[in-house]
Amino acid sequence: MIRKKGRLRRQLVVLGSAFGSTGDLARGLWRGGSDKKLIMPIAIFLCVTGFLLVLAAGVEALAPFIYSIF
Amino acid sequence: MRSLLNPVQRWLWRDPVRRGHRLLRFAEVEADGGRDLARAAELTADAKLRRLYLRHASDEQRHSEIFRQRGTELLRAHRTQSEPAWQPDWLAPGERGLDDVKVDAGGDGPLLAFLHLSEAAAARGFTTYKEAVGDDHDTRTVFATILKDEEFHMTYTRHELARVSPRRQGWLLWKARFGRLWKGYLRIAVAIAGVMGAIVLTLQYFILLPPFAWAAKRAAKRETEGWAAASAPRDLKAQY
Amino acid sequence: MKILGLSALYHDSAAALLVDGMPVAAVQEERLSRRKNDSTFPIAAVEYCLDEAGLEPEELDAIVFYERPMLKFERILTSALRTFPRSWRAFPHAMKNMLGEKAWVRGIISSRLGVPGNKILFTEHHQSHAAAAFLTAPTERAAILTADGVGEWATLTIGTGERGASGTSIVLDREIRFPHSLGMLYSTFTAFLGFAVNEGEYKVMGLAAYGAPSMADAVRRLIPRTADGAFRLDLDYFEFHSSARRSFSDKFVQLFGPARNRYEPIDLATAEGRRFADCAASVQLVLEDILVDLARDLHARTRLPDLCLGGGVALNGVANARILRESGFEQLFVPSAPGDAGCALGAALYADRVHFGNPDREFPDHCFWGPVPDGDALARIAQEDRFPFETVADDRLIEESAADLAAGRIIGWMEGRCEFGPRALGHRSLLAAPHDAATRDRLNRDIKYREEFRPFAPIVPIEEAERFFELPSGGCRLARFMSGVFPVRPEWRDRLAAITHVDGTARLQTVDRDVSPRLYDLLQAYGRRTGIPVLLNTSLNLAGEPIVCSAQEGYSTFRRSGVDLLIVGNTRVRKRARTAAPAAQTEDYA
Repeated sequence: MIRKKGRLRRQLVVLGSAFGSTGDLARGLWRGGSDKKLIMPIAIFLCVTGFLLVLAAGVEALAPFIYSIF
Repeated sequence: MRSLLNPVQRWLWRDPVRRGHRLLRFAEVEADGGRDLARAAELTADAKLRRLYLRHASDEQRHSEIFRQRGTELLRAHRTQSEPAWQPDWLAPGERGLDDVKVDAGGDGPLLAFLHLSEAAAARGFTTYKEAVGDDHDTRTVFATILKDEEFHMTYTRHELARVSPRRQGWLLWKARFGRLWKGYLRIAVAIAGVMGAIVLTLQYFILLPPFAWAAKRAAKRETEGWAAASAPRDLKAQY
Repeated sequence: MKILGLSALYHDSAAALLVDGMPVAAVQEERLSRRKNDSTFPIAAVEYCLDEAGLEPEELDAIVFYERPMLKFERILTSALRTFPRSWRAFPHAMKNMLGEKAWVRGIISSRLGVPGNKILFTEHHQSHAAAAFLTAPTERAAILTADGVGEWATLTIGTGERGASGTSIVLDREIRFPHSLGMLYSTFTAFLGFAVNEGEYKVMGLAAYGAPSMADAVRRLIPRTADGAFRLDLDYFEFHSSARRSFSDKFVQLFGPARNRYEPIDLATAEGRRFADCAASVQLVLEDILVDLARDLHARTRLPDLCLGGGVALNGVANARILRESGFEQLFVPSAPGDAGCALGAALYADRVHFGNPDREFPDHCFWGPVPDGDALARIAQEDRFPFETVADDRLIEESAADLAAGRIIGWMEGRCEFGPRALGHRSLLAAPHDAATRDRLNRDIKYREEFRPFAPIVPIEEAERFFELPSGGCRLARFMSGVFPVRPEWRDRLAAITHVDGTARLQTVDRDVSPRLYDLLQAYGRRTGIPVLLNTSLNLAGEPIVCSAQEGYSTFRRSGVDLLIVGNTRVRKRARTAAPAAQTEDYA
């Protein structure tokens, strides 16, 4: 039996693990040679942008207001 | 409010190509609605409701075909290859409410309340569109034909709601009304968020990406064509 | 070990569960959610798999996702950078899509199943395809070729697999990378011809038989071969890598003419209709030529007798049959689910055999890993709706079904666990007599509501296949999961008109008694009556809906279409002329 979680709680779990995922990406790009290293800053920046998208998805009713953080 | 939008509707329906595309869009929505109703029939334990849902599903399928045929006729008569760039669907939602229905959650009472309100809204919408299409007799006939079925759908959903939830029917209807309002708000909120997100990401694209794009293009030029050696197996724990 | 494999978030989500190296359950989410090509997180499929094994999520040793989301993100970002500034419209869409959800798969799995992140593993997309093809095939050493639209970076890989007492290895040593992709080439034509991508590729293959490959040279300009025997796409003709709007460019349209309006039916009597059929025939021919070439080269390099083929391109039965005939391989194995859904099983198998190093186990040679329909549920519903129904013993059911089929009736046939993969292989099938083209037309018009040019498939006992079909060596095996298209023998074409395509071929399924005894017996019973133990077999579903799974879904399909009988296990429901079943009347509510 899979215990169902609320949307916000689920998105917080996702957000919690997003830092580790971004770390995976950074490590992969760093080891990937000079061409990949070059795109690392923009990739990480976009991932940080993604954290807000995840948060916005968690509380879709507040999505426009969360986007205004930009 | 609706009468205020009538001139807008007339304008939206005036162009036969746009009219054709909107009817084709309606065809898709009706077909989706039919599938949802078939699903409701598969899930309900109430034999009478099962028969009604199946009948309703067949009606929606037939409506889909009627819309599709008329839409195709219009487009064929006004040959065009591309779809209009701007399709303000939220002004002419057809029965899109059914798109959002969670057939497998909540049971028959809430579903019937939701269906009743959706059908009523669709009937109002189709009445408006029937008037808005002006002298396009064939399209008017399409809406008139479908409206007859909508009346049946509205009536049966209301009667059955009274049968399956005699005490809670009023509450369920109010809940469904609130649910529709909430979904409407969410749709708008998500649309606004989508626009804001797109603006922010587009700005990032033009402001931040150019130097990285230059580097990426240079790197791409160094890549050889054809076969590449596969990279060594990676650790299964990493996402990269 | 208990290992759950997952494929999700792009198309055809699925879950598959292995316990101690053996499959317990595997199912596509669409079969349970009833949304065709459902790509959402496969929560219902996971629940079914766990229930089947009596497990809780926390008892799983590993959950394996079928691809590496961050590697994919890197590819999407790099593509946007390389196509700057043309990708400006696609960029926000791609980033919202990726960063709003798809990049964070570990978190999504963790939040949905309540399992710790360190139990979640990731295989590469084509590793999953390769494992699904190789580790489910009855072979110990084989060459492997996988091809699809795109995974992370790879679009096509080749290598070898080996398994046995000393362990399992899958080595994919060469690959072709995005944007150069056979799958994307075919999908671009699918979109150009007005069909839905990832769904309408079958239609392109079916349409190809009506055309002549008169534009094959033009297609070859789109996909020139490279000096090392691979290929590249001439990106001037494509936009899939830079645009979310359409996948072909204006230059493509200049070469092939205007794209088809998806709402306009294809009329093969018109020049426009024939142009579309010729486009389909041309891209089909070029795809086949390239695949045969690559397979021939792989055979020359490996000298192995067996080839395992995976990825969405392996659903192209015409190409598969040519590979078998022309590449030099003696056997070609294509799993029942070579597309992304099958990656759920592939990912779990890869983790079990390669990552954890568990001993090799012989994989059961069938595809029936889904839920079982409940005949009693059908009986109850039929009784409520006053449809005549009965529960019949196997022998009588088979004889009477053969008689019904011989009398021209169409049967919805549901038995046992549902198939894993896109095809109905006799457990969720519509069966009909194969002799008359009118049956085909009736199925298209009254039941399937689909395009006239799409063929129906035959099903035949394995021992009888060569009598009716021209099969190369290894053809019977390829037909096990309906993965090859073969010529119908000319002398039988008139008597198998409903399943013979316009070019004289058929996408055959062979039935082994050990795997599907009832269906096998039905074919033999039908053969005793008509002299031809062949039936028409198509999936039990209506247009736009997934193949049915439960008895209730079978009944709903039966009620909404022209199916004459529905059989679920041993329960049979029959439509009568002027059925006594109460219909919902408008007047009741007037």
